[in-house]
Amino acid sequence: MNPLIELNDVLYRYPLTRKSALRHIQFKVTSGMVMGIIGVNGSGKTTLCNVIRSFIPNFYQGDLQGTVTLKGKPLNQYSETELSQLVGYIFQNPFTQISGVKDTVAEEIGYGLENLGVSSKKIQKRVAKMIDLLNLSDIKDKNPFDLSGGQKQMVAIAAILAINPEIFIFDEPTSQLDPAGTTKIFKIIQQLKSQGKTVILVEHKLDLMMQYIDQLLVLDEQGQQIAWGKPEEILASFTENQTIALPTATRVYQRMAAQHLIPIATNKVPVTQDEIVQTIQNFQETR
Amino acid sequence: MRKRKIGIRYDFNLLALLLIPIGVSLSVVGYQLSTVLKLPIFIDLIGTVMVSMIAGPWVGAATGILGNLVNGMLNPISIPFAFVSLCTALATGYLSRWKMYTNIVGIVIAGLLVDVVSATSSAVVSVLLFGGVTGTGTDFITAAFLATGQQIWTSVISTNLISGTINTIINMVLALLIIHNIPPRFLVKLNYGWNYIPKKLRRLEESLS
Amino acid sequence: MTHFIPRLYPTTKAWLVLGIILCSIFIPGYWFQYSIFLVALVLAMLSGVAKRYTSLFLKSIFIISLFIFIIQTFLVYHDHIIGSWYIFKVSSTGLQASLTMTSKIVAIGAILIWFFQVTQVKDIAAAMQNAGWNKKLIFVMLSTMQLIPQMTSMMNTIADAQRSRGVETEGNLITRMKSFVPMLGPVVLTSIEQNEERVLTLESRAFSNRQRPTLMVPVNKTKADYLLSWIIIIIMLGIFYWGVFK
Repeated sequence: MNPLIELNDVLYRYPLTRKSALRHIQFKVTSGMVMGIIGVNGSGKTTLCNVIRSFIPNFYQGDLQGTVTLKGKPLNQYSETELSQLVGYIFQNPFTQISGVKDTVAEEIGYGLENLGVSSKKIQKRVAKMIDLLNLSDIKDKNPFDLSGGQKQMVAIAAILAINPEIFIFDEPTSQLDPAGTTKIFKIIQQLKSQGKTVILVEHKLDLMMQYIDQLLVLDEQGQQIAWGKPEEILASFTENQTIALPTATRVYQRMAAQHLIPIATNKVPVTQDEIVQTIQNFQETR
Repeated sequence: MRKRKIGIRYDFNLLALLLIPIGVSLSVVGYQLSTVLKLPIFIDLIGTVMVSMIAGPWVGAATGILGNLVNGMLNPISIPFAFVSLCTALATGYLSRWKMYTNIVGIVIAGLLVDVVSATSSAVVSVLLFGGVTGTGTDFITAAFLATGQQIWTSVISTNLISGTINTIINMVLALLIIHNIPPRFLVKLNYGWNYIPKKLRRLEESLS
Repeated sequence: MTHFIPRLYPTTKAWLVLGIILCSIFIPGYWFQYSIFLVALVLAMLSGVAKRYTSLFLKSIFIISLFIFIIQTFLVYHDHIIGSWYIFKVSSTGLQASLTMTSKIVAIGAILIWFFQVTQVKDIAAAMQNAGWNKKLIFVMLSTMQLIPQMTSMMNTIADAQRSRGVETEGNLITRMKSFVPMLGPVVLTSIEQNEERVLTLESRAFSNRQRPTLMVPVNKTKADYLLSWIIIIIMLGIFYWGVFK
């Protein structure tokens, strides 16, 4: 099967800077996958998201080398309109994610569809569905400017969901949200996954992230790809002392293994709570 | 750096487009602030000047004209004075394109030129449509000139030069101060922002690409 | 009735504005023009904005007209003196020029003040979109109308914060001048910083699509709009003909 997203030896330098922000990025994502990206601050996670959406180099300029293809077609052969329908992007900062031209939440959610020339009846139907799905009926007549950060983020997600793209990029969507808001967003990601959408997720809340992702990409502070694959496999090669943070489950596992409380596995480590519990249970049973 | 296409057809990219509301609001807020602080001058040109410098004459002109139209909703007198904003923005924008705002001599010359352009264009609107009046305090200066036997055109242009020069210069200096605090990564994306990026970074970019 | 006029389609009201502007430019004399102040006042009363209309009119159009009278009759013209007061001499040429000039200003100013008091920018934008105007223009217009109040309130917040941090806003001129930049600077720079991501947000919402956009909540002409438009056009043509050629 043709991979949905494919990056081949991607190297990128922002204008007015000397060092590359990304180097040797190479991976393939098939349709329906949830892919996680981790790395320390400034390791190029957002930059990579921007490459996949072609905001790099179209908007940010700079030098981009290597190839990026979506559905087998190079990114630079897509029009802006095609890309906005194919890839939905939810940004980190809720405050910049309102169009600034609509004075109700409902119209804000419909703005993308207006731009796409969809008929008003269809937009209204679709927007009503989104409001229902994300429980936004209390605020649907409010001015988007007057919302809290968390509410703005939900409206931004609704606006992207309304367009119904195939690929979703979430760039640290929960960094400004409280735990309740965070749970809501992960529920949405779960729903998208069950609908067969492809999701790219940048997130600092590792434990939560690990419950949803199928594939993981690790960037070091130089913007270099240091690992790509199934999280339980690639995290086996990392130890706690290294620069990247590990999920709690993996750290507990490694510590227990170091104290010989459980046997060491070199090719696969637990990454979620369920998995570490399972591992310990299995070991208890075999003893 | 790859050569950019500039001109009226290319200047209205999305980033520049979003600068227009900021420019208009900046002028409005600047005006409000100068009344709050009881300053003797009006910082009501700052947005138009700033946008003209970094986004070019045409985007600047759009900012200026829109500003007058917005004011015109409450005070229709402001609408014909959009012509002044247009002239000021075009002058500032082209002077910026010719790198006049990058050195002190250029700034002084540009300041004087823009001052003359706005004083003259303002006189044109005021004399032709309002008999030399603007409905503000400066009309007393015009009246004083007329009382000494001066012609209407001379009186109005003189008034505009007297009252406008400090105004134009302060608006221009404040706009430049703000521009110097705009991150280079933002300026690099604008068609006319390159000249305002620190020299060191420009050299670096030129050497790398 | 107070809701009827504001809810009319913008173009319907624009016909009246256009008609009055053309008539006041081409009809000689000044009685027609001055009477527009009353016409607009009646319209403002019917639309429930009479107070605001009067206040705006006095603050802008009335003041400038007064100044024009003073300057034109006493200072610009010195011929056909019809009276004198202290050192000032009243010129009848000047008086005539003032009447011609201010009457037009009153007519056009009055009808425009009324129009913008009873027409929402949102509706104007919708009408422009229906008529196929440039999308970027409409966007900038709407965006500006939303941003100005935002930025004003942002400046107030920052001004309060700066004051509490010891930036002087009272005192002599130099002190007050110096406080200008720390107050205005952060407001602009924050907006500019946010601009980049707002571009990407708009791209994500298909702003660059070349197709003609639609409106989720359409604004359409009603039967009353069609009827009124024709009535207005016919009346204005009548006044124009009667005023200019008879």
